Amino acid sequence: MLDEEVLIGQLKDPSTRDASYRTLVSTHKERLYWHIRKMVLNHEDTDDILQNTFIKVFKHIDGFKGDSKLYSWMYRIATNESINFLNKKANQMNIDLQTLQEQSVENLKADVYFDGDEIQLKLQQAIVSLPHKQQLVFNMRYFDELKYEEMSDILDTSVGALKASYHHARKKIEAILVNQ
Amino acid sequence: MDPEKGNILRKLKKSGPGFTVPKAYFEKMEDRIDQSTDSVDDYLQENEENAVPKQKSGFTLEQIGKNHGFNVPEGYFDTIELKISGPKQPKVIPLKNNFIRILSLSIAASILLFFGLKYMNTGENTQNQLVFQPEEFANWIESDLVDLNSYEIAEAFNDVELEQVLYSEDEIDEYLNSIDIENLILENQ
Repeated sequence: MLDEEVLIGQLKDPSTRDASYRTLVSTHKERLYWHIRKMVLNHEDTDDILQNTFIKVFKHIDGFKGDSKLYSWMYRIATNESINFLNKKANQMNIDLQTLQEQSVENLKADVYFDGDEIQLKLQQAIVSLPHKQQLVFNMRYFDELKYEEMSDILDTSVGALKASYHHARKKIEAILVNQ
Repeated sequence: MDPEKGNILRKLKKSGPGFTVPKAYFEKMEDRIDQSTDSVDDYLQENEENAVPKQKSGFTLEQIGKNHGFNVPEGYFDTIELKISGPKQPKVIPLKNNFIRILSLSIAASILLFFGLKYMNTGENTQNQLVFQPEEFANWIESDLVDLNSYEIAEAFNDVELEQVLYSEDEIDEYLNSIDIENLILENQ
């Protein structure tokens, strides 16, 4: 894998920008896709958000100061894009975010790109019942298996707070699943 | 600021807020949370009966595993670079093109307005035609209103300067010379 600093340098250089941009997309497309997908649940919406995320990355790469890792920065953009998308969609439908997410889980039953069984569906129902930040933390830790330090960089939250948040999220989900 | 008040605040700041915590509480906090997070499964298993009464249909995260069940269309990740081919550069729209567009829109609007007004006037005429039905013309004729002489017309339209609307003798002569009188008679029989 290409050294991150070299890649950033190439992205900022107009002569190597296009080629390095493709490298960037190839390297991070799957991780970012799954990160977004677990937030918005639907493939088509995920695809739109992923494209917007990469376009934003490209537009703002000159302003990237390197305070965090490039992928953390991209994760942060993807997270913000997803949250903005969900809020906008909820506003357009004149419903709150919680209701929108519950409806999205319900739609999974007829989604051709969801082949989970009843138990996996119930897990998604349990996840969307959590506060939004806890949903994020749970997905990033449980499914993506990100380190707390990486999550801290992305979510701008202390490692201790993230551990506590994950602990609570997991406990709530276990309780919901066990009682179903 | 009152200098005495300032001294008190400085003293309070030096002595601290007065709250204390157990020794090394903060140093081991992360470890405790981490440990509790990692051992939550063990905890739930150990306290399964007491902590959460498990029903027949219940299940744990371990049973579910980490497969979330989401899929993507076949070959989706192979084509994504083509879909996201760099940032879309904003289109530069020359002022000239903009001017032409505005001009063409203005012309289109004028034409629409012209025909719109024309249509509206036609509509009014149609309405007028509908008002004057044939029987009304018949009544008008029966009432001898056709047979008005020039004096009666002058009396009815006393606000009109007849000299302005009447033709001069020369014009009438010219008109009569230019038409076929026989045809005119035939047409008005």
